[in-house]
Amino acid sequence: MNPRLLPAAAALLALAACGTTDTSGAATSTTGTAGASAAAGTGQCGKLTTSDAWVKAADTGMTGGFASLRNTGSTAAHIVSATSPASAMMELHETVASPQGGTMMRAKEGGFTIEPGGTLSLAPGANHIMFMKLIGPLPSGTTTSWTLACQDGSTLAVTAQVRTFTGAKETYVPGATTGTGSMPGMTGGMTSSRAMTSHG
Amino acid sequence: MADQGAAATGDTSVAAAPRRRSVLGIGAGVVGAAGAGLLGYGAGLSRPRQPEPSGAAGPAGAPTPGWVEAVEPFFGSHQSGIVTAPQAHASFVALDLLAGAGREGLRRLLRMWTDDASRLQRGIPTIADPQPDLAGPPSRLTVTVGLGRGALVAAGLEGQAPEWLRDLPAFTVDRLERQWSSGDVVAQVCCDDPTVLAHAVRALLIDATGIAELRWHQQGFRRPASSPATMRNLFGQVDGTVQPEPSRFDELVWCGSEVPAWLRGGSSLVLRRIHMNLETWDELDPAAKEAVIGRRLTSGAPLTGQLETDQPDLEARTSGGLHVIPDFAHARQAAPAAGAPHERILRRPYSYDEGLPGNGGLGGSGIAVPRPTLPPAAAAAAEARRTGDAGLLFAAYQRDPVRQFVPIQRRLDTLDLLNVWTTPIGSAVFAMLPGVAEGSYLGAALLDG
Repeated sequence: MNPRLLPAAAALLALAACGTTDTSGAATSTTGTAGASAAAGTGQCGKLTTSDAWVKAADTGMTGGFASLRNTGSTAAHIVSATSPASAMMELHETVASPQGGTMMRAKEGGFTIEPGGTLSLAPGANHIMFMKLIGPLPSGTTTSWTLACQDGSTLAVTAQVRTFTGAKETYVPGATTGTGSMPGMTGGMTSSRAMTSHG
Repeated sequence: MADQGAAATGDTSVAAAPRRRSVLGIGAGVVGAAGAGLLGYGAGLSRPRQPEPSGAAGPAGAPTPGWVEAVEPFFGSHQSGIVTAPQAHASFVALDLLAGAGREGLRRLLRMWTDDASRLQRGIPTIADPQPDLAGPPSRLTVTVGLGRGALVAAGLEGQAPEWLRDLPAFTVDRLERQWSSGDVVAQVCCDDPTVLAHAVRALLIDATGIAELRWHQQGFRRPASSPATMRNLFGQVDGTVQPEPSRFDELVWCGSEVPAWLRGGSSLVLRRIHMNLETWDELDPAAKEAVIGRRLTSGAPLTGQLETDQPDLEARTSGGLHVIPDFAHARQAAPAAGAPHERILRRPYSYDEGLPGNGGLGGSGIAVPRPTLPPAAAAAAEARRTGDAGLLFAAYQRDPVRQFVPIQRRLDTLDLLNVWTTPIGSAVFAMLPGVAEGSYLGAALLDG
């Protein structure tokens, strides 16, 4: 590579993910089919269908959850929180442009809204579910789950595949919103600088 | 292109007869022909250059518009990629499980491979695909997964291994190198588009992160399936004409009640990497080349016949009393032994060419190419490094390699003049898993049993 391009390349890589360290070989046995679900419930969350749900494999600390959510109902669905047996703390995150260039992620104020017939893509480098404090390792090739809660109290359980993923390393900026606030006890491989992303 | 349309219909009956006459049908019924060999020979230009009866739409050799969309089914009682019409490109990837991966690691890997393959064969990106735009069109992608004995040992399931799941016995012609041999887990990935193929292989390797490490990766190519003619290998020989008849697949290709339940409906893969000395082969005159094989180079017809589909007459003699098909001919030695009609294998070979070294192959540097000797020179590997490594990835599928493959190879090992120009440098045996139903994963019957 042209040496003059190296700083730019480093800056791109510094758009670090809401992710954590790579998976280990640690093994836990889980079963079940991850991926798609049919809307069968009531309330806002009950009208959501899920597909391609997955979580980035991680040993400790933080990681991200992703899926495609479609609102099959006739009213907007307001997702306000998430829980998971795999993490002591969960947040709904968005990824936004950093004033310094690049992107950063932060808690999404007010959660996610999916209009009737609309689809929300939770993806690396975009909106996602943040596992803030893993309780144990999430090895690739296993499954885990999370539950979304909507404003009206309805919920949606999501089963997700755990997969190795090395992309979209956005910088996380705790306290950048009025959302959950600071992150006591945060550990793990995620980029945790309180500074905004820079292009180094 | 022949029958791509049929493939694209999403026919899920993998067990059905192959849909292309060019793959397996030519020579059907020619029992006793050179149907199973180290290098196979047969039909070629004598076959009518016209659309296949099974439904080619375009002129011979011209891909039908939309061919890249063709899909091979993933779910079914057998894995695709075995009796599937061979795609133009192949990658064979073997992994070794990392220490400690064990049964759970193998389960994790096979779960991911199942999900990824089921998507990629439809041209859909994997679930965490870093390059989703490379996932299609699928171009008949197939991912076919198997296990070596090492995988069962690592999983604590060696008692579930069929007896034949081990390295082949040593042959005198072998000059095997570890870098091309054995392995715990294998994926045969085939596709008509090499870019889509490369993407699929990368997806499988990402899945292996933290579970297994790459042991070897072998890439091959062959005449596109759209071609009306049977593949030729790099010696110019028509390769892969006579195959087991589809009506005999249950007898000759698919494992049955003789193996543990988890493998029934699977098969075995013998993959032999056969270095071919193109330089010394070039030095033979055409008549000598045909005598070595026992078949005509241009037509693929046996020396006793006119058409590639003609059955070789192994008893025919010249006026001088010699066999027309010489005693040392590959076609004679590769034919099933008398009274052993089960000595048949399904050949799915691919040529390989690793290119020439920059310091001058082809004699340009003045490097002397060793003269052939019998048995093959032990310096084959070193020679390959000087003259380039090219040859054949001889992939053979059969129900039981010890019963079907080994007897053939023993004959070839003993008296096949072709051995002068060919050297096996890699060898591996895998138990290819049976097919999988939607919602399950490859190997579930073994690992969850």
